[in-house]
Amino acid sequence: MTIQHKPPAALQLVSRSEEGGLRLAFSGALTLACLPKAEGLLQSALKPLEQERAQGARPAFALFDLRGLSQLDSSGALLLNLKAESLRARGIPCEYTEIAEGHAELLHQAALPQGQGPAAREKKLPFPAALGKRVCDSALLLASLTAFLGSVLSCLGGLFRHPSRLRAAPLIYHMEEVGLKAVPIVSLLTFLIGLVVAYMGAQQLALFGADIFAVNLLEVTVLREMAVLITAIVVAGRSSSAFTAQIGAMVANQEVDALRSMGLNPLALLVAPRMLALILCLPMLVFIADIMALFGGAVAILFTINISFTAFITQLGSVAKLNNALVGLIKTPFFALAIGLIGCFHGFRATSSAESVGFLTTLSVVQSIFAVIVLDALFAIFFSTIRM
Amino acid sequence: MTQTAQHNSSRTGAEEAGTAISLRGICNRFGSQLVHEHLDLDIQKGEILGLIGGSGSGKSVLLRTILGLNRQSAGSVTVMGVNMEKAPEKERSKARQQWGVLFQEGALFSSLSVGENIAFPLREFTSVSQQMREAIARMKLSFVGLPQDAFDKLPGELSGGMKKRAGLARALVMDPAILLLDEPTAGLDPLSAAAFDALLLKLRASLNLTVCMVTHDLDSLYAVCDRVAVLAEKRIYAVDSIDALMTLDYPWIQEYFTGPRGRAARRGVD
Repeated sequence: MTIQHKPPAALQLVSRSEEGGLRLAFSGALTLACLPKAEGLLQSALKPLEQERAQGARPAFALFDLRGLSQLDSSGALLLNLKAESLRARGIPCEYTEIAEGHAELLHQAALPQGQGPAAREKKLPFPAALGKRVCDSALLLASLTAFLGSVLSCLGGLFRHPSRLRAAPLIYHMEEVGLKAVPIVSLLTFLIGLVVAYMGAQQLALFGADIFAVNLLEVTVLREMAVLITAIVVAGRSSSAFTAQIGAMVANQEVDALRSMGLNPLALLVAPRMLALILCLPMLVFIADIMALFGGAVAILFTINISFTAFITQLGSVAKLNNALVGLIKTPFFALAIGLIGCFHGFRATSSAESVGFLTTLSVVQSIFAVIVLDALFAIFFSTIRM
Repeated sequence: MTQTAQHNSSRTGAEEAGTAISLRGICNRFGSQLVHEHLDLDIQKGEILGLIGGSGSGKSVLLRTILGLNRQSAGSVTVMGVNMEKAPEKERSKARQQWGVLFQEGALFSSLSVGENIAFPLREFTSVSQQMREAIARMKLSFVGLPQDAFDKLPGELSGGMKKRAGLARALVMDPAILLLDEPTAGLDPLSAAAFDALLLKLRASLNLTVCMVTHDLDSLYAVCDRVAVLAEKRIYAVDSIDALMTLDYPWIQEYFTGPRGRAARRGVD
């Protein structure tokens, strides 16, 4: 039992020429821990064979002498087998001798499956093909998003014709989640935006002595663009991610399959209440946002150019046209549609792995914010063309 | 030191008596609920031990306690002679590399391909070349009976049974001395489950493994387990061969082995 106090002996390899062949005597432990070393040792020990071959001589044989081997694990056995096989492939017979009891089974088991060449991996496409593939994939995704829009609209249309099919409880639940619970964050953000816009405007306009026009500036910027955009971006971040995660988890858990197998339409049950809640709530949220932004602006103007609330309201009343507020509000159902559509669409793309839901959630937030901003730009062009 | 040196020689093939894992006085408490109370268990080197017990008897908690995923309220866990609480971190980490674990659903890393999953411990703990890593991973893949085209698949593309096999390949890649399995045959069809049992016996024969498996599969218990530990009344009620267990006068054990399914499994063995 004295051996027990020593660490396993380090691997050693002695090579000896023998009747035109080569005998490789292993001793020590050939295990995973010393595999890199073993590879190096084998490489240098087999060099003479290579040289003989290069000189045209045909080496007689190679012999792996395993007598001194104290430890062998499956990785070590695999290395030996691989080396032996590569020798045989080059026409050099290769045998094992003096296999210790217990190692034979390991050597027998440790083999790569037959006919296993290098992996048949998916080849990396060259640049133009890769670009083409990406474009095609994106186009296909856009096409299926459009198809999804179509089926959602037809489902919503069906609900308009038969309002009794609309389930009130989930609709109200989602209105609370999407609308009511977003009020604090939307209010705070738009208050601050109003504050900043009015403050910066007042500072710049004061240089011309036109500081009262800060109110006009505030009214246009906030009602037309800022309040709508900020609200829509917050809602996109909150709700489209939530929709993707909820529906994605249901898809992954086969709940959607269960619904379909019962003959129920997942669009009507899962998508319609979410879409309707968004379409109903976003205009209300934007209305609140408008008021909060104007309030924020009034506070900033009070403290920078000392115009009282009453004066602010009088000025606002004289410049405000219904136009700007309407332009802001008209956009909201379209934003709502885009946010809900992208959120639900990615939810249905989930597969059974938990990872896909996480990935799609990120994707749906990015895409819905992107969609909101692109739509806003298109609306800006549209409204300036019709001079509204 | 003597104890740490023991595991080095334990794998030379010469079978020697010794404990691979030893639990002493384990208590586990969740809130006011006491799951284990002064639980002792020794797992001998080279044996296949089955762990059974009713639902909620704390089999999985016990496994998690051995793995160090669940800190026991009292008692000690010793793995290959290393006390998993008091020994220095270096030794504990070494002891942890001595075991391979198969979780119930395989617990494959979903962002890595099956091959990368299997080679993952090699990449983290050894300096084996990329080429050799792939060779070892492919060997383990065929070892557990998976086709080679599974190598480049993602775990999400595999069936439940294949995930388990891939998880087993990952657990085996470092040639562990101990294998801990959580319900390895649950959810497998009978043929796959039988193949799994055969695989376990083959592995034990060629790698000299110590196996501890939580299982409910009576066929598995009869086919592969040398001893069965019964978890009841908050402790290990008995550890013995199935035949010896059946002589015990404890209602749950009697029902377990002599119920309709128990009898059927027994007939399968006879």
